[in-house]
Amino acid sequence: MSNQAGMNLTLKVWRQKDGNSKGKIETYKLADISEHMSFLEMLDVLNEQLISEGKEPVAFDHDCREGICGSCSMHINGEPHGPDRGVTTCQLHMRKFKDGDTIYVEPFRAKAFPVIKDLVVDRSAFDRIIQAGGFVSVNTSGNSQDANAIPIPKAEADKAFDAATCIGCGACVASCKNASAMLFVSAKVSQFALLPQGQVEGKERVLNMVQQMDDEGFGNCTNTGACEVECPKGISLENIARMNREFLKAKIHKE
Amino acid sequence: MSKSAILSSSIAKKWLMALTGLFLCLFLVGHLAGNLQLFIDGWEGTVMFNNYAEFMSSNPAIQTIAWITKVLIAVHAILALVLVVKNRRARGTKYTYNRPDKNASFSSRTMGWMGTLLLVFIVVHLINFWAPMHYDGNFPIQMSDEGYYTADGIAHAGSSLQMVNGKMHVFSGGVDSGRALRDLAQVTRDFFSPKENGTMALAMTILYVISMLAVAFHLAHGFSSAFQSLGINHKKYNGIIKLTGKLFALIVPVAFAAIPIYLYLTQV
Amino acid sequence: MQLDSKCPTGPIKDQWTDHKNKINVVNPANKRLIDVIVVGTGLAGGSAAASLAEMGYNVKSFCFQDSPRRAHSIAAQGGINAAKNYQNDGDSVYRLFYDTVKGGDYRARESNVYRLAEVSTNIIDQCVAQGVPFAREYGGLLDNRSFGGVLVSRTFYAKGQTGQQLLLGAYSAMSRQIGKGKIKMFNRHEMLELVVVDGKARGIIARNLVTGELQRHSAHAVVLATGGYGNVFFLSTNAMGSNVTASWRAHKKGAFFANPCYTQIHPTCIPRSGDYQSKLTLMSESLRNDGRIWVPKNIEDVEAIRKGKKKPTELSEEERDYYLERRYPSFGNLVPRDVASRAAKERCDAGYGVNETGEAVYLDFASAIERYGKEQATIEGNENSSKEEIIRLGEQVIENKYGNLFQMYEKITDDNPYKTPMKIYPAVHYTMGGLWVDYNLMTTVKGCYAAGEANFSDHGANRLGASALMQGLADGYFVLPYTIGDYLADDIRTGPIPTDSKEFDEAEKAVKTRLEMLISNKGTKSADYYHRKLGKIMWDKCGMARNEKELNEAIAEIKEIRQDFYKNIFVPGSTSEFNPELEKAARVEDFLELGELFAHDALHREESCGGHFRDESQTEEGEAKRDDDNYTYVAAWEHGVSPSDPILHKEELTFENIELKQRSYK
Repeated sequence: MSNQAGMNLTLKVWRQKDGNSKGKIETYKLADISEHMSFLEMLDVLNEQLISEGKEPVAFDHDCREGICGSCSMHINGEPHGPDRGVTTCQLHMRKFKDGDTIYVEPFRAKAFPVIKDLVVDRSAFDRIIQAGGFVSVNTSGNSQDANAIPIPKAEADKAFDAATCIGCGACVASCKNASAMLFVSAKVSQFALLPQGQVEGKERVLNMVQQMDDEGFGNCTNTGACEVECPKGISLENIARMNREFLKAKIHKE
Repeated sequence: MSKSAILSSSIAKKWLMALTGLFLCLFLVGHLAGNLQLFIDGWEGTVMFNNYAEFMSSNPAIQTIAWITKVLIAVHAILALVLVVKNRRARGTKYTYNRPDKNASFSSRTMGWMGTLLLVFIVVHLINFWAPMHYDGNFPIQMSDEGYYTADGIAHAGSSLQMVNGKMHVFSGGVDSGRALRDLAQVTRDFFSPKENGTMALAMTILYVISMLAVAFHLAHGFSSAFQSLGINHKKYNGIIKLTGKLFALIVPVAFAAIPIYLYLTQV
Repeated sequence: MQLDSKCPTGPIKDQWTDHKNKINVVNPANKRLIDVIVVGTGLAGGSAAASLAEMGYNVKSFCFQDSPRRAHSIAAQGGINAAKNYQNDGDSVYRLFYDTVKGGDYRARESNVYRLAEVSTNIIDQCVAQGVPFAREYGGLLDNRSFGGVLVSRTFYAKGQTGQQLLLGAYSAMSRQIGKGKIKMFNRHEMLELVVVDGKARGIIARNLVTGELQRHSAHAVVLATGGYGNVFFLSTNAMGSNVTASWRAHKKGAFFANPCYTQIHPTCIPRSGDYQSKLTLMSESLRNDGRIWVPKNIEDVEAIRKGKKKPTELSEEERDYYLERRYPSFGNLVPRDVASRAAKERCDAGYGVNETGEAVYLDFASAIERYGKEQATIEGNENSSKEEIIRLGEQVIENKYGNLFQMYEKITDDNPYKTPMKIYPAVHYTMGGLWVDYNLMTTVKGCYAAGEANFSDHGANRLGASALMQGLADGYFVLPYTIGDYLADDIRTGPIPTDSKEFDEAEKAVKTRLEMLISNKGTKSADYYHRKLGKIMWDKCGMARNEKELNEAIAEIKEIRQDFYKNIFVPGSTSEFNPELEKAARVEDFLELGELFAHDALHREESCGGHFRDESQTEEGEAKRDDDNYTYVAAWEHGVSPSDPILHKEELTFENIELKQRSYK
């Protein structure tokens, strides 16, 4: 396998100096790319090539490179995190592409995710949504209630976990035709709605988080399901439905 | 947060879209049930359909529902417009290369377009039938060898027609027997008849069929989407909701579309 | 300078309580007058920032990532230890303490480790209260799994994403305080210098990574929770951005660096596949609960497998060498990480590596799948199920336990681990060494604290699985928030620290000069070029086994690379913009100095202990041999005039509660 000659690729990459500049697509040629490389390693090769030519390398967010930190944020060939399913860009491998392919690489697009440089976007809107209510209000205490004091049905705990696996990458927003953040917000709302610890302040949470989501300028959910398809962690649309329920309940009860 | 009016929230808007949408689905069923009577040919069908139409346009309860329907269509459409504008803005810069077909169905991505088409169709449809029936004083009246019919379905031998306060009344022997029974069945048949309406009949048949295609796509996503918006998403019931939605999106528009096709073909 | 660990005296089980009772406390009104800087937002930094803010301090929190939620603690998979004894298998605070000291090969401070074990139970309570969705049993109570190096099940977990869930817990606690304005969060900011005023840490110089602006931030105390320095090896399981800069800058300002050579090489990582490789991916150690590690017995089979002529599944039981089960019958595949790693290296060095690079061994789930399949069939009442049915059921059980790990493996390697054994090889994973701290977690610079992996304190020469998360959260939630008060009590009348002092001027100027030097150098080589070169020396000569000759070579070679770096480094762009290459270059510069200290430390420690294995110090069977007479101390290095002349200080370790023994997992 490794004896095969590598792939030749044409990259069409979004280049933008900073948030105030206009960006455009630049074309680069890459030769001899191994199919075992990850997509980001392929970009490393591109950057080494650019540096050796005295040019500015392509800036992109990345950190853990094992699909869990949620840093990488690229729209590859028309899809966030590229053509593979259930992976982030860092775990997308070049074996998903063919020799001679042209690959478009763009930043995640949303008005709430302004471009910082090239493929790097500012996703602090997500942080602000969590700050609005994505927590359980308990202070650190050396003698809080024993962890086993409240049994939680395994099915509920597992569902809460599934929702909690969201890595906050923003692929849901990037894929949604409306740049809606509903999957992200609903994942956090659901995690806490499913656990007794989170239910105490459930009403305030959903109202505050949805309010913040709207204020950040994200679009509206039209249930196309694109987010669920592209989510690297497979967060389910069920969470959005749960948030819709929680929201109504809260609106009705809240004075 | 009480600082926000209920409609300012994106989720509240979705609830309203879903509720109005589902109501309009119910309306479609009712409308279709009435229209299917057009498949009954001849005098028997004429009488049945015209009496039905008379009932629908005079019963105060039905009239109230009819106006509610019109208001809800407007609400559904205006809200959709608001959402589309907000959603467009939320993207900002567009992707140079995008493949939405990879992650979302055609019907879900075209709700706005199909909805717009439907709105246009609804206006055309109202102009074609509803407006003349309600506002055209010279709307044809059901008649047979026994004379003109009044709204209560009774024929008056040797009667004549006369306008009273803008409405057509049947006069027999100089006496006002009451409001005339409008012949919507014949008007509809003629509308789709090439003999009566020329090439317009074909054009209208095609327009109606295309519009029903738009209904099909709109429902294919809209029906189950409404349940999701209302927070109804449960593994156990998702299958049945999806299936019902697809069947609904297939059966209702096909049945509707069959009417103009039938009328056109049987009158060539 | 005499190192004072400030460890309490008296019976070990009362030490922490007594200590808390005696130290100074800042009253709530005065906490509002005190600023604390926390650098890093992982488990230690995130939990410390949240807890300090909850207590009332004004916290400024820094991370170089775009959000505090992205700190590399998020990648920890397996679990977190706590002496809850929910499984009724005889676990206790003492046993966790004992296991940790023993697992660390008797090179950790007893007092610290006991405290760690003691607060471990509070961590679980706290996290559950925060809504962390730990795995549960059908009865609704918390589930536990067992981990390497211990004989009880005390590890709490959330599938293979425990670190993520715990970090998101700390992140949410932080977010709550950010929302309240008690934490001022600086995302995409990197600390590049520690500012010391009158011998006390009083602030930092940070660079706004988006604009390139250098900023002065002052505080009454500075907490460094900036993680480990595993990336000195270039290839490691650390995140790409993980770096030593904050610790190293503090070190150069007077903080001693302890035991840098104690590095944990994790046995179950996905092997390297080519030279382009940028990082290594860990497969949770929990896999060793069910996976059996082996290589072929016959070298002919190894060759056939490498050439693709044979498949591993075609080898019979007799043709396989389950070397861990063979060498360590009592712990088998669950020996501690250092032992498992060296055993893999031993087999691969002997030529039995099963992939093209010769650096891989098998981790096989076939027998676990069969065993679970049979159990499941019995539960379902079909004891006479067909073999296919049993395997199907077994695969389901394995999927429930490790589904996400198996999926990750398949995505990366394109092999299906349900059908063919995984290939694994050790990789650098964690660094036990770090900034020297006393019992209060203060470094040798007054007011500068180090928490989590950044300090050296609790794991000795080797860390047990699922203990890193425990230590990070223990430091941040339950230790630092108390102990920092002892120091800050003197600062209630100090008032805000001005940033226009000459110390801040000088610190900012030094950073500016350094960055401008990197940008203006007219070289040709990228930062990665030097990083890779350094990493290769570190791996080849300071890796799983070390000896005097190679360590001396490493020292000389690192010096050479460093000189070459200053001559030939090329950094594109400017200092006043978003410039990832500049960030990398500055980090590599610090790694190039740390690498040498690492080698000096490894060279001076002429014994084998935990993650540090010296070829010269082994038993006849090839097991690590400690030298307790001469090396029962912490090596705390003071920065000398240059990176090449570090000054050694020793903190003698005394063991009053545990008897020093040669570790045996046989």
